[in-house]
Parts: sequence; structure tokens; C-alpha cells
Amino acid sequence: MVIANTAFFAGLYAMLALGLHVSWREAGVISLAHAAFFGAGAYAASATLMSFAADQHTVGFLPFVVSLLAAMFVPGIVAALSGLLLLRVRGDYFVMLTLGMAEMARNLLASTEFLGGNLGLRGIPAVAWGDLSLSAGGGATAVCLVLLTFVYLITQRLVSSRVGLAFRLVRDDELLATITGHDAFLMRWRGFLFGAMVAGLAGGLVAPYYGYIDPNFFGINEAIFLLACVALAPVSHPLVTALAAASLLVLTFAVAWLPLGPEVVGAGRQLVIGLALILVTALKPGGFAVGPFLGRT
Amino acid sequence: MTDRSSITNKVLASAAAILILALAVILSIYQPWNQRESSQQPRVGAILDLTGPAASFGAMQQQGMQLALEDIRDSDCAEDLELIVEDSRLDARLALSAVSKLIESDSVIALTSITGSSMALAVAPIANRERVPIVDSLSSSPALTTDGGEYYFRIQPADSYAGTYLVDWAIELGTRSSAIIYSDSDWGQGLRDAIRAMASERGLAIELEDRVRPGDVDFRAMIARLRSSPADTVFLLAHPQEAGLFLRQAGESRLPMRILGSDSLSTQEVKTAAGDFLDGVLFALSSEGSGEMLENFRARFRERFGADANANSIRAYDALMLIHRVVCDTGSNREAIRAALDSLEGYEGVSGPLSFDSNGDVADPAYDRFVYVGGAYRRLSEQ
Amino acid sequence: MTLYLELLLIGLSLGSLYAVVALGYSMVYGVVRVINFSHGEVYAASAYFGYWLITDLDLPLIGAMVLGAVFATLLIFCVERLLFRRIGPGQRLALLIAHIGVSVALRAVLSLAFGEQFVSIRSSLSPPVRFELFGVPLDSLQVSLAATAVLMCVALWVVVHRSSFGRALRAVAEDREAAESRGFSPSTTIAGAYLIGAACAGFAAPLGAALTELTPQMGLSLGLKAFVASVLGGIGKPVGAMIAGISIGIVESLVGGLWGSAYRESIFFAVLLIALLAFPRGFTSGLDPRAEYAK
Repeated sequence: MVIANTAFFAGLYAMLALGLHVSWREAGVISLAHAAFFGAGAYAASATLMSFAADQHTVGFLPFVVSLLAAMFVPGIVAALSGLLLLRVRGDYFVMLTLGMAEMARNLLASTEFLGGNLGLRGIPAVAWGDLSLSAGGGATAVCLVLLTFVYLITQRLVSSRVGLAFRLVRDDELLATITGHDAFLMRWRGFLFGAMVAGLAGGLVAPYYGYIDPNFFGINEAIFLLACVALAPVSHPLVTALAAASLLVLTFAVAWLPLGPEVVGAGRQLVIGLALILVTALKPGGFAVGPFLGRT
Repeated sequence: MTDRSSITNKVLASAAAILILALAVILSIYQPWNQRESSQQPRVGAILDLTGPAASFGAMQQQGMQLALEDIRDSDCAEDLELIVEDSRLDARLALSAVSKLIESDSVIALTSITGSSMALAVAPIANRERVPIVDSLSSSPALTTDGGEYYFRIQPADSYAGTYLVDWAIELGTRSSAIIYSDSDWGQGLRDAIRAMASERGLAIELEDRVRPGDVDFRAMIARLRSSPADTVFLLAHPQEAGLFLRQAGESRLPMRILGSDSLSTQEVKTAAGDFLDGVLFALSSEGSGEMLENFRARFRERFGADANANSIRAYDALMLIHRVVCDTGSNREAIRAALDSLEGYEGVSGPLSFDSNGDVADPAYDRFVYVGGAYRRLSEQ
Repeated sequence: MTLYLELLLIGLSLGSLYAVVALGYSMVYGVVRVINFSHGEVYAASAYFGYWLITDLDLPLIGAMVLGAVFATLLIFCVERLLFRRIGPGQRLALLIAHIGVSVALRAVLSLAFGEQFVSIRSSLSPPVRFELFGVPLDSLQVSLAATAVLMCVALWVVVHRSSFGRALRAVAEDREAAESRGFSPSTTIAGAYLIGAACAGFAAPLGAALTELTPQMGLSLGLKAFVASVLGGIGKPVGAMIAGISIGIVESLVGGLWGSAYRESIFFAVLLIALLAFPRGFTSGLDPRAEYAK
């Protein structure tokens, strides 16, 4: 039970990390809004599932697929539109803008009655078909890993394709990229968009798993955790990133297994994340090869 | 960026990651500190807030259940119950994973006390789906009447009754127009909605309302706003910490309004946070009951824990005892338990006779009035 | 009328809090050009340190403030020496991440040491002198905080514009390499900026916390507000930061008092977005943080 649960989240965060990897490590767009896109996907999926479910507790395969599409579509639209505005800003300001945008969205959601407000969405139907159930346990883990593999393959192909090359060129030397005919803004926008859609997909998985979501699941702490997942990868390669994310997740879960008492768990996890970030920057300060968009290489 | 040294890096990174994962997997399987002997006793689960913002409530519930366990062991019925308590820390995610664990890993036959309406509302759909009955003791949100589902029962009166009572009391005290300050949670919103509904029915004006978020510490602008409104009474429906801070800041700012509240104002957190500014604050609590059984329970509680029992402990005790009685009479089948709860009649709990209406609620509860004097509260006899 | 006056004064009080945090924040940001994520947590840690001094050791508030400054300075000295200094000048992303890491770790430590629920300095202090100004209730703590903000601003202005260290600060902030070739030492200047910023935060923290209570989360929200104030006020400009901080406090207070809490938070984020999108230079002409890309 605990293993399946942990594996599910390890896979989930590996998926999220892959999305942020393309956005950040490839295209140079470091975004603290990633958690918000995760949340947007979860909300979109929940709303879809609930509209399919009417009075039942459970829905089947087709509604699930539709919910996943919605989960990718909604964050995609948001990223596409907001990216047009935000990506004109650079550097630290962009990071703070994404943070500000994410917090504002979360705040607006919590302040209104729209989509449950601060109380969140309850009674999200479970997804099940055949013998497979997606609400906690083995079934969810299996589906998650399948989707993870799918996302990984796409990411790998993207990274080693000409588009990936263009991402990296734009990231490292924008002047050269522009001279050779690339539209830097467009490339970054694409990277940002890809990341948002992958995050949304992950959100689509989490909604039927919990059966309940609220805005506080997708706040700053979550955004920083995702940042840490990608930051920990010593080499800028999708496999390494995915593994780094999975390991960090397992490490934070392991805090709960230590006999330290429940009060300590939340803060303990945060401490692990903070120390991980500190170690990674202390030990390899030259390790984040990201070009002028955020700082020199 | 791929060159020889970075490939080595990649291998090392992967190896390290795999090692960590392996270690964590081993720990999770082995878990030497967490061995549970497989027991034959039927298990009941509880999802309390033991270390979070509502920990004082969770503690009271836990104390009540401890006394219940003792009585269960001493009872003449052969079936003992094993109680498994999970800590939700008032975080829905933890509550959700707790309920999954309780239902799937621990195979509980029923769930009892949950700390807080928000947790109960998050967890109830799952319990209903898995067909596990719940007998809850603290959650008072009116939403649970409809959203609790067939498998949800509670001994705590729904706050729709509390709303009615508070509005009538306010009118009795001469309130002309009021304001509502509420916490942004299921409990707070439930009470707010109940008060609004009853106020409009009784023709009591509500000038303004404002909401409070967990962790808010500065209410001065809100207090200024209240001061400038024509309201003469504030319904303070905030969680303990925030309510206490509000009271102190309102006192320091010399806000001249009457303050009426509910459960949250009876807690230690409010007393600590409000400091010297408690006097005159009024609140209503659902009645604890009366009678010899209750007095015996109170005495026992005081002797055992060195503090007075209140409604939360009493009801938590009753909830668990009720489940035990039902199990003794009809066995440990979940469906049978649910049916027995549904048709419950003539059961005498410590808090009085118990039975549930078709929504799993107790009907027509009574309320008691309290006022703070000299830093402590005491009961007011009704006029 | 009294409502507006009361909200204005509340806003001034709130704003002085934002101002003191922004003042320290602005110091580092001007020179290092990295979002000083850890500043908010340094403030929070100093506040908790002050809390411990006042409740366990029975120190008076002013003593806690002085020791708070010492504590903050030592804390940032260690962090800067052991971590930030190791990260080279070109690695701004790594520095940002390091800041985030320090902020998260500090917050976790505070939470572990003091718990998630709020604690209060105020209840351990003797009650402040209360009085009324134009019919609005105020107390001596609020006045002290406002006074501290002004004094700190003046002091920082003197440092930045009238001292040799200030000259170094401005030189390094404008062009690091050029400053180095002129004989200024960037690493020492940067370290100095961190220390001064932290000292400001540490000094003001126990006083600010006496007004707002302490939770482990306080650093995050204050840090965010300080950032906005720094941006609006102009990077590296003490006067601008102070004015911006006070303005934010007043706007928040007015919006919250007139329209309710929900709008108060949303307004802040709207201000944040507008500030970053439209006013990179701030209201006063400070340094444009984006300008360095031309180099």
C-alpha cells in the first residue's frame, strides 16, 4: 500500500519534472507557475469527471481520457496567453512574475465560490474500468507509470530533435539564434507551453486519485518543490531529471517513515528540500547552464 | 553539453538515485518500528487532528475515546474493538490517505470521530463509495446533512440549528443589525450560511461580512470597517487562533460591539490569544446533556485527565460506544452496522438518547449559553 | 471620515513594517541583483530569536532588538560566507536557487523549533502606552515602528550616499568589473550589503513581531511585499523603498477596510504584477535590473 502510494507520487513528480525540464533546462524558462499549471490541470480534470458522473460515484475509461485532454488543454491555454505577456520580461523578474501570477490565481480561486473556492472540490468521482481503479493503490500507479513512460519518450525525442537544439541555442546565445533565423520568443513560448501541458496532465492523474482537491495543494511550497526536483539533476538530461525528481520525492516521503512523530513530518520534508537545494548549489555552483535569459553561463 | 565526464556524471547520478530508492523501498516494506500484530478484533478508525490547528479538539475527542475503550474492554459483550487513530493535521491530503489506509490496509468495519467538518466532507464520499459507515462526533457543518451520504451519521448537531439559535439569541439581546466575521472553512461557511438564512427569515439585518483566513494575524482594518458600520453585534465564527487575535485587537481598538460566537470560542487557544479582552464575549454550545450517566462520566473524566469533559469528549465517547453496541448486537458486517444505525431507537448515550434522522443527523438539539467573566466562561441560565 | 483616517493610520503602521523589511531587502538587491529570497526568513528568524529572548530570558524589547540585529548579522554572515560567496559572479541562477534553499530550510527550522501555530511577543511585554490621535486608537509600539522605519531609512541613505562604503556599493551595483578595476572589492562590498540588510531586518524584527504575532510563514509574505516595495521604490534607493513600503501598507489597509479581506490580497498581487510589468525602474529612477544584459 505504502509502496504503491509512493511509486505513484514518484512517477507523478518525475512527470512534472520532465515538463519543467523542457521549459527550464532546455528552453531556459524557469517558471514558478508550474505548480499552478499542475493545479489548473487537476481542476479541469475534476470538473470534467464530475460533469460526466452525474449521481454516480465512478466513471469509466472514456470520461477519464476526456478529463486528461481537458487537463492538458486548460493549462495550455493559460500558459499560451500568459506567456505572451510574461515572456517579454526577463531574469529574476520573470521568476517573480510567474510566482505572482500563480499566487494570484490561487488567491482568486480561494476567494470566490467558483470551483469550490477555498473549500475545494469534493466528491470527485473515482475512475475505474475493468478491474483497474485509479483512486489510490496499484491501478493508479500502473497508469501513472504508463503515462510517465509516454511523456518521457516524447520529451526525449523533443530534446534530441532540431526543436530541442533550437531551444538550447536560444537559451545559450540568443543573439546567434536570432541571427540564424530562430524566433527566440516563440521558442521560449513553446517550451513554456510544453511544460504547462505536461503539468496539467499530471494534474489529471491526481484528481481521481485523491477524490478531492483544493487550492492550497498547489501553492508556493509545491512550486519550490518542483523547482528542487529539476534543480537537483546534476546533468541536464531528461532521464537524470526524472530520477532526481523521483528520488527527492521518495526522500521526502521517507521522512514520514522515520519514528520522529507526526508534528515533525511537514517541517521535516521542507527541511529536506531546503537542504537539497543548498547542497546542490554549494557543491556545484557552475551546474545550471542556463544562458542570458536568467544569467550568464 | 554531452562529453565524457558528463556521461560519468549521469551514471553516478542514476546509481545514486537507484540506491536511494532501494533504501526507501526497503524501509517502507520492513518498517521495523511499525509492526502491527494481526488481530482478530474488529477495527474502527478515527481521523483526528492531533498536531495541527485544531489539535485541542482532536485531543478532547481522543480522551473521550480512550474512556470508551476502557468501558468496551470491561463490557459483557464478547467483541472488543481495536481503535486505530490517524492524524490529519487538518490537511485534506493526509485525511484522504488516512481514510484509504484505514479502509484498505486496516479493513476497518466503521469509522468514528473525525476532527472537523472539512475533513469529514473530504472523506465521506470515499467512505460512501467503499460502503463504510461513519459515526462522527465533532463535525457540525450543515453540508454534511446532504453531502455526508448514506453511510454518514453524526452525534453532533448540524450548525443549521446553531445558526437559528444564535440569531434568536441575538434578537433576544436587542440586536438591531449585525455583522459576520467567519473563517474560510466548511465550519465557518456553514455557520455563516445558517445565520444568514435565519437572519433573513427573522428580519435581522446583516450589514457586512468579512472572512478570515487561517494564519491571518492582523484584523485592524477589518475592525475599523466594523466600527464604521451601523452594526451593534458581531457573529464571530472564526477558528480559535484567529478569533482570539481578533478579540484582542478589537478590545485594544475599543470596538463597542457585542460579540456572539460558537464552539471555537470555548477553546484554550482563544483564551491565550485574547488575553485580557475576553470579558463579555458570549457563545453558544450544543447541550452536553444531563443526568446521572453524564455526571458519572464527568467525574471519571476529571479523575482520569485532570480536566473537565466537554461536549467533544462526551460525544466522541458516545460515538465509539454506539458502534460497539451495534457490533455486539448485529455483528461486524459493515452493511449490518449501517442498517442498525439507520434504524436506531432507544439507545441511551451519556449525552442522552440517540437516534438519527434520514440524513444521519440528530434532530432538534438543545443549546447552552455561556459568557466570559474574569477570563473564564460560565454557563448562563436562560431567561 | 474617521474611517478613512483610521484606515490611513493603520496603513501607516502596516506600511512601516513593510518599509523596514524592504529597506534591508533593497540593500542587497541593489548590489547583487538577485531576488533576496532569504531576507524574509532572516527577519522571521530574528523575530523568533527576539521572542525567545523576551519570553525565556525576560529581556526588554529594546534589548531583544539589538540582539536581534546581532543575531541576524551573524546568521547572514555564516550563510554568505559558506554558501553565497562560493557561487561565482556569473551564476545568478544558482544564487537564486541557493537563496530559495536557505529560505525553505530556515522556515523549516523555525517550524520545527517553535511549531506551526502562532506565538506572541506582545503578551509577554508590558502593555504599550495607548492614546488616541484624531479619535483613532494607537499605541506606542506602532509609533516606535514608524520611527524605526524613518530612522533606518535616514541611516541607510547616509550610508549609501555619504560614506565610502556607499560609494563602493553604488560602483559595484552599476558595473562590477569596472568597480573592481577601480580598486573596489566586489566580494567585500557584497558581503557588507548582506550584513547591513540583515542588521536592519534583525533590529526591526522583534518590534514588528510585537505588532503582528509570529508564525513560521511570516517570512514568505513579508519577503514578497518587500520585493514589490523594492521594485516600486527603485532598487538600491532607501527613500524609495520606504515610501513604497508605506504606500503598499496604506493601499492594503484602505482596500481591506473598505471592501473586505478578499480584495486586500488580490489587490496586492495585482500591484505586484503591474509593478513588474510596467515599472521595472520603480517610481524613482533606480537601477534597472534588466540593464545588465547589455554587458
